[in-house]
Amino acid sequence: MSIYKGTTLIAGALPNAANQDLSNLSQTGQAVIDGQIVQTTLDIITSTTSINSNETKTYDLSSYLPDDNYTYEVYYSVAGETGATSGNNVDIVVSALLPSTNRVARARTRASSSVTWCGSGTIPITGANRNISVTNLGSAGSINFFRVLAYRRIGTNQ
Amino acid sequence: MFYIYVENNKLNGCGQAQCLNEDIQNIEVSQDIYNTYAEDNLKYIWNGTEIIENPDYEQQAQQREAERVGELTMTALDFITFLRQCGLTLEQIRAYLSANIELDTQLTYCQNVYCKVARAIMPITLGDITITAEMVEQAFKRKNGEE
Repeated sequence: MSIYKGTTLIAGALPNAANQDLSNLSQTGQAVIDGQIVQTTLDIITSTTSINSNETKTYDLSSYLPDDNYTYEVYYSVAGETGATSGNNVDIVVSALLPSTNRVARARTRASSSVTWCGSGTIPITGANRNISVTNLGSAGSINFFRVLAYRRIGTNQ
Repeated sequence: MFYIYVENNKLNGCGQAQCLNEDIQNIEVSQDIYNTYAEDNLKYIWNGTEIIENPDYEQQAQQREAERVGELTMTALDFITFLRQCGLTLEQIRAYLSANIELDTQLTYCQNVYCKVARAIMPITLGDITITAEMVEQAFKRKNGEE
């Protein structure tokens, strides 16, 4: 599997595409095909963390993912609240190096008390860059919970 | 590793991954401090150089609880029912509302009655019955399944 940004190769490439039974792959061959899901959690945020309008917070997952340059698909869940003032809103995007941003939640305060929001998804974390970001494209809000739940190797380390 | 994040000279959340934003400091803390802060983010504050126990914790926690309870709601009908359970008759309630247009407007036109609004007009004394702010808070908590 290869990942391109435009026409530029940014993560891995199989030199030859397989077109037959893969059961007799060598260890080297197995290393470049999809991995199994590894269920292990890391709490990125566990307490109310304000996130302002158009603010991005970026977190380092290098202590969570294996120390190699493989590309991993990460499963995450995120939740929070809107600001307490009527009209406050959140528009939450989770992103990584690849342009595969996930818009996970939108919510708006209509009266004088916060409303809760939540979302989940998967996102590829590419090569040596182990960062995951969360952005609020809305106005005032907070994140109370941001957890990565599992990962799965999906690419190469080339 | 356990971190509490410092942003704009204040604690702003905690987690187990380092935040890479330039304006955010990652303060490594023990698991005990991390768990305590995660459970109640008023327990600690940033004094400019280190994380310390919040000397105003009790006062701030009471204020936070008062604000939280103030946001509890019930319908106007439920609020009238509460007044009747306190011993007021419908006639007394109508007479009181006629003399207190602000509350009458709340009950007539607002979808929900906020505890903070009802609490603010207490105590009400009609005859030998007095309804206090504490009684109102308890009623809102009961209605919201908290007691």
